[in-house]
Order: sequence, then structure tokens, then C-alpha cells
Amino acid sequence: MKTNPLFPPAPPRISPYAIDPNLLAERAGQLPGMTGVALDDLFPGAPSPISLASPETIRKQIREQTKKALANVDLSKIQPPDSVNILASHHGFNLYGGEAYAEMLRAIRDEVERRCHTDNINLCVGAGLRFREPDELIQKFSLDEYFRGKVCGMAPVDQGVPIKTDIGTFHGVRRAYSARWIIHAHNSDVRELHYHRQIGRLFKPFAMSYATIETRSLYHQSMGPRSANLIPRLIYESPLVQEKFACSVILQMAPTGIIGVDAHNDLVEQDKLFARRNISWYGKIITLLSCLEDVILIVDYPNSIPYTTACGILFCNFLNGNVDEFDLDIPFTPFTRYTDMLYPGPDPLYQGDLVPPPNPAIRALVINYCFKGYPGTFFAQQLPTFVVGPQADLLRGCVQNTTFMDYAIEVEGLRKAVDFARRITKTDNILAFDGAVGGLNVSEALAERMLKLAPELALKIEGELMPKWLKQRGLL
Amino acid sequence: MRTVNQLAVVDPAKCNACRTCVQVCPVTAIEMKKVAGKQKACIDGAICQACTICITRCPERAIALELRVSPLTIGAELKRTSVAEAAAICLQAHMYPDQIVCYCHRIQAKEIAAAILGGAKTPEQVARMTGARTGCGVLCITGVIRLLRSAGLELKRAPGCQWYGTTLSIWDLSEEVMRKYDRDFYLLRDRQQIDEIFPGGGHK
Repeated sequence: MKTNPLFPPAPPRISPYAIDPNLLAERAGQLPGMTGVALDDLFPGAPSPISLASPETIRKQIREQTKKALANVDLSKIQPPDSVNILASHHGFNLYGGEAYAEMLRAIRDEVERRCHTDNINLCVGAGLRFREPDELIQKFSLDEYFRGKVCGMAPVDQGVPIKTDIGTFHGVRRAYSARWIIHAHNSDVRELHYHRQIGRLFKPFAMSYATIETRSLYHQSMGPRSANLIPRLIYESPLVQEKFACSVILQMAPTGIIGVDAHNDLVEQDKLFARRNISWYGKIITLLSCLEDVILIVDYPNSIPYTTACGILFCNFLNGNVDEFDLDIPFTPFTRYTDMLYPGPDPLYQGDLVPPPNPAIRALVINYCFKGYPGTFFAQQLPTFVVGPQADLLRGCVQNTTFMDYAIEVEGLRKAVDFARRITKTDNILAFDGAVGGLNVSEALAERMLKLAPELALKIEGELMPKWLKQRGLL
Repeated sequence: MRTVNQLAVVDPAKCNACRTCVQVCPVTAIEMKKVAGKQKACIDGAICQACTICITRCPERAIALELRVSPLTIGAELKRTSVAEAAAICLQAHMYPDQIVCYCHRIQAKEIAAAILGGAKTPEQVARMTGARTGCGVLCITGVIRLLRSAGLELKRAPGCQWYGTTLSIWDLSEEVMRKYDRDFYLLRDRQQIDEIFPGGGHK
């Protein structure tokens, strides 16, 4: 069996939403029998990422790529002394340590100043459900200094601005739209495929990071699992946004890492481009995970449970792995808020075929390290869950998970938790969501299984699934 | 029923009276009052559910959690005599009485209906009685609004700046709109399937 050395896990982060890094006694990759399996050995031909060798290397490459991408974009609408808001999201900073995204933002600022002769350029960083996170990130990357104090963190409870659309009025965060022009600075990571379903993925922040609670809640709770994606698209097409929209700059992601930067004046066209790329780049690895039969999953990454990642994919991509999330003929994936709401207890209120259960291949969930600040009780309710010591206290104190630990078992150390999980599940297949780049840290048994499955699966995906996915989106 | 052991407290020396906390509190527990001759934010300890939203938005970091002297119990219990009435409100809102509306505290639609039947007329009053919106503060607002409207209550906008009463749902969209966007966004198909899972409502 061809295996690799372990991939280094993402380092822990000092944050009020996480345990003290000193309390993180052991990482998943340190467990006996763990090995690395490289994406290139599973599916050769994935695009080459930029080097993450050092922050300086990252900054140099990203600055060059951002300048190059923006060279093809018309910025002539922006005239001195126009104000410009660069709209950012916390997600970008969670990609491979965040330095690439931070540098993309800095480079956009400098290019706009150089070409448009205005220095009235603000950075607005949107939040998820941890409202202090933008402030943390601004400080971590010294963006306050770089933007000469013209920075702000935004939260969905902040003051709103009405955005009239074809179907009704939504609300954006007022500060996001306070400038004459906006630049949408996002990333193309596949992330929450269960929500966006690769229908207008690049538009989503218009209904999330840049939107207030009512609009965000509507997307998650009151619209429908596929049709919710109409909301960000309509917000983007609204007169208010079109009047302000200058361009979008996207950090290009693939399962192998950060590929580069792309910029465009037309987000509709850019979204089509990335829909094609994401289907092609992420389709294989996500489908491979969906073929695994029994796995102990270890969460070990500085983000909330669904956003823990490895090889460019999320915990949630695996949780929903028993259905084909790219297939738009499937309305409901196992976990979204549309299904979470159906589970007051172990069994769903709706008993029909439309709502699939969480991926039965996840035989046990071991939480070694993650953030608080995301309502995730569903995971503990639906999966046999073991939480390693200090993490349990963090989750007990989380106002968004007040009953999480009622459904989970606290275990003193990672090894004991995994040993226990092994005994009850009787499987040696272990998969870590620990931030590995370019591959996955897994047990030897699982590496062998994945390497065996991959070649045949690649043929099926290329010949059968990809054409279907592309056709469903009008891209073929 | 949930027990709250903490409450948020303002340090008047740090408070700059910007009113941000007043605007974002989901239970409207914060008011501006004169403290030593100056306007300061003051939190009503009898109402605060320690959701931390004010703490995370305060630009001066002037608010912190403290332990309560005596715990606060939150929850709206459904009276036996009101079960049918609560179920009717839920059904009108396309909800099962047992379904989760607030994902953070796992608060069910029937508990919110009980609060409405107990006199809650706004999302803030629902929050005070049930604890809904005192977790993430984001995800459940439209569910709460749909239940209030299903009970025949008219909503305008929040006293702060959190919701604006423009909530719509897939059941509010016209056939024409759904047809227009169905090709790319699956509106007609979602509506049909969501109706199967979440029956009810008074729509045509």
C-alpha cells in the first residue's frame, strides 16, 4: 500500500471561542496507526496549489495573483474621492490559516488606491454566529493598521438597510452598503454544499455575511433547501447592490489548497466558472467519502464542528455523504436547518422518504478540538459522540449548545475516546478532520480502502456523474 | 425549562452610551439610565438571559457575564387545555408542534405557541418567555415571526434594529414568481416537497 507521512494538522488558535491551546494534549495524527493519504494518489491531476511554506511566500504569491486578476477588471467607475467597501467574510480567514485571504484583501486595497486614486477604502468583515470573530481576525492580521483604521466587523444583529427585490424586501447590514462602491471579496471553497448545492455559491454572502438576521433566518428556515439560493441571487441583482457593485475578487480553492485569485465585473459569469470548477475539483473526493461504509470520525480543527476540514472538504460534506449533494434531483440532504428542525428526539417527525438520515457510515464522532459558537446539538443527538475533556467544558458553556453534552460522553483523553469508539463500533477506519492540506490523515485500514476504491470511482464520476451535475445547472 | 445561572453586567466606567447593546438585546433587557449624572446602559437582571449578544457587540468591551445570586428559570409550559389551540397555530405556520424552532436551546414550536397563548405578542416577548433567540440570535427569528403571524398578530418592526417585519416564506410566493425562477432554483419542486414534509397553512 502506498501511503505518505502524516500531513501537519492546522495549529490551534488562541480565541475566546476555543480552549487554551495548552490544553490540547494530543492531535488525531499522533494516534498509533495513522497515516497520510495524498489526494494526488487517489485522484491524480488535481490543480497545483500555491506554496504555504511561509507567510512571506504566501503573501508574495497572492499579491501577484490578485494584481494579475484585477488587471482584467474594469475599475473605471471608481473615481476619486469615491468611497469603496471591500466586503469580506470570516470564512476566508479560516482557509489555511487565513494569511492568503488577508493578503488578497490588502492587495485589493492597494490596487484600488493605485488605479482609482482614492484612499477612501474600507474593509468590512462579516461574521457567522460568533460576532466577535471579525474583530479577532482584524487584529490577528493587523488589518486595522493596514487599512488606516478604516475597518469594521459586522454582525447580523447590526443595523440593517432595506434591499428591494423582485419577491420582497430583504435587509443587508447597513455598514456593508455604506460606501459608494462595494467589492465582493470572497472564496470559492465548496464548504456548505448542503446549503448552496452549487447553485449560486458565490452569491451566498449577500444573504449571509452581509445580511441581517431576518434574511439569514429566512434562507435557513423558511424558504426551501434548494430555492433558498434564490435570495442571495436576488439581493445581488437588486438595484441597491447593482448600483454599488464594482467587482468581485475570489480566492480560488481546490481540495489541494489555494489555487490562486480570480476577479470579475460580472458575478453571474464568475459563478458559472466556479460551479464548473468545483464540480470537477471537489466531485471526486466528496464522492469517494460517500462510498465509505464505517468510519470513526475525529474532529480536530480550529472551527465549529460542521466547518472542521481536511483536504478541502468539511465534516458536513461527510455527514451528508450518504446522498449525492451535487445531484439537484435530491431535495433534502441529511443535515440542514430544514432537517434539524424535524429532530426533537432521535427520530424525525416526518417519516417519509424525502428526508434521509445522517450518514450511517459515521459510526462514532470523537471531538478532540473545535470552536464553540454554532448550534450543533443535532450532531450529538444523531451520532454516538465522545468529547475529550477540556472540549466538554467548552461546549457545556456554549450558549448555542445548551443541551449538547446531554447527548455526548465526556472522555478524559483522545486515545481513550478512540479506543472506546473502536470497541463499540468494531471498526479500525479512522478519519481526521484536522486541517490536513493536500490529503487526509486516516488509519492504515482506511487508507487502503480509499486507495482501492478511487480508480474505479474516478471513471464513474467522469463518465456519469459530472455530466449529470453540469447538465442540471445548465452548464453542459 | 432552562436554568440561567449568569447575567450580563455593564461597567459604567467603560460604557460610552452608544446604545448598541440596547439595539441588539433580543429580550429588550437594556435601557439607558443616568448613572452619576451620565447616560449609561443598564441591564435588567430580572430579564437578562446571558445570551452574550450585547457583550459581543459592545465596542468598548464594557459588558461581562457574572454569576447570578439566584438562577433564572426560562420556559413556557403548554397548558393541557391549550394543546389544540397551540397545535392550530403551529399547523397554520406549517410546523409540527414538536418541531425545533430555536436550534440552540432546542425550543419547540409548541413552546412558542404556548408563550403566544400566554400573552406574548412580539418576538421579544416570546424570547423573554421561552428563551428563543437567546442563543445564536439569528437562525430562529423567521420561525418565531411565522408563529406570531399565524396566531393573527400583526408585526411591524423590532424596537432595536434586528428584524424589520419583512419576513416572507416559500408559501408567500406567487405561482408566477415560482415559475419564473424554477429552472435554476427549484421553487416549484421545493414547494411541492416542503408541503409534503411540512403540511398545513392557509395558503391556496
